[in-house]
Amino acid sequence: MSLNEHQKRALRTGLPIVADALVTAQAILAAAQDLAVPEDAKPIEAAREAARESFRLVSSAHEALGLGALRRDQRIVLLEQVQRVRVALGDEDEDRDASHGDVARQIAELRLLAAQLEHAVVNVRPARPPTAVDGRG
Amino acid sequence: MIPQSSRERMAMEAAEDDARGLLGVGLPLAARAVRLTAAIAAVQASTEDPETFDRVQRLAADLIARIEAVAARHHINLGTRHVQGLVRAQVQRALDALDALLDERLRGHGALDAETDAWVRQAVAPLRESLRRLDDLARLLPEVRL
Repeated sequence: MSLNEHQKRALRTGLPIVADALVTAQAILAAAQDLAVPEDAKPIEAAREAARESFRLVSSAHEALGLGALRRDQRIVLLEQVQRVRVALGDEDEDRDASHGDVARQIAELRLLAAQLEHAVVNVRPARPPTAVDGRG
Repeated sequence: MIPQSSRERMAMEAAEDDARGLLGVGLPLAARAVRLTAAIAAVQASTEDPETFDRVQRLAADLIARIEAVAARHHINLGTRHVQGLVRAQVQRALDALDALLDERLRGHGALDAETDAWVRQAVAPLRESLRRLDDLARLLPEVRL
């Protein structure tokens, strides 16, 4: 049983993508738990626990394959969402003509706040290895 | 700026219409992405540097408040999506990433012998099973909209 260095690198970059999707799933479930009525809490908690377990299993697989502790850049999942915000608010170069209008001013203000958010995300300190997001929060 | 001519005024009005159109389409998408940003920051803050994640959460809260205010002013319904679809999309994404890794990316760097292939698949088998279980549980999620 042997993996060459390219294959190990593929696993080291591929498994964090699986982990990132599970962090996002945990976040959605955590937000759902905050919004749900108490009688709906149980199925959400069950799904949340399954998401945590899946995350743990990504780490376990990473180690079982002899790749050491799973390392992921936790800014990536946040930046993905921030990019969606930027796209949703449009490209400022495309609407220069409207820059004096009331609506355009509001959009410009939203873009400014989005840029500040992006800046804060970029400056999140790298995670300490190994990471194990357990979703409690 | 005061429009100098009717042509300029018409151009400005057209640009304002475009901007309103952007708000109508973009604000609901932006709102969901910002809510998710805050939720991801909250989850990650539970195990990592809480201070920097606090800042992300604060800025996300400011932005969502502003988005809601702009939406209210322009009578834009921000809309929501059932969390079941949102969670299942992430599970599918995880499964797709795993399949792409095993079936394409690994093999793209040289064929795996049968023994190694079996070893790799065995290592990720519990993960795959857990993802399927998560998908089953996601199907049972109550109607909560985000």
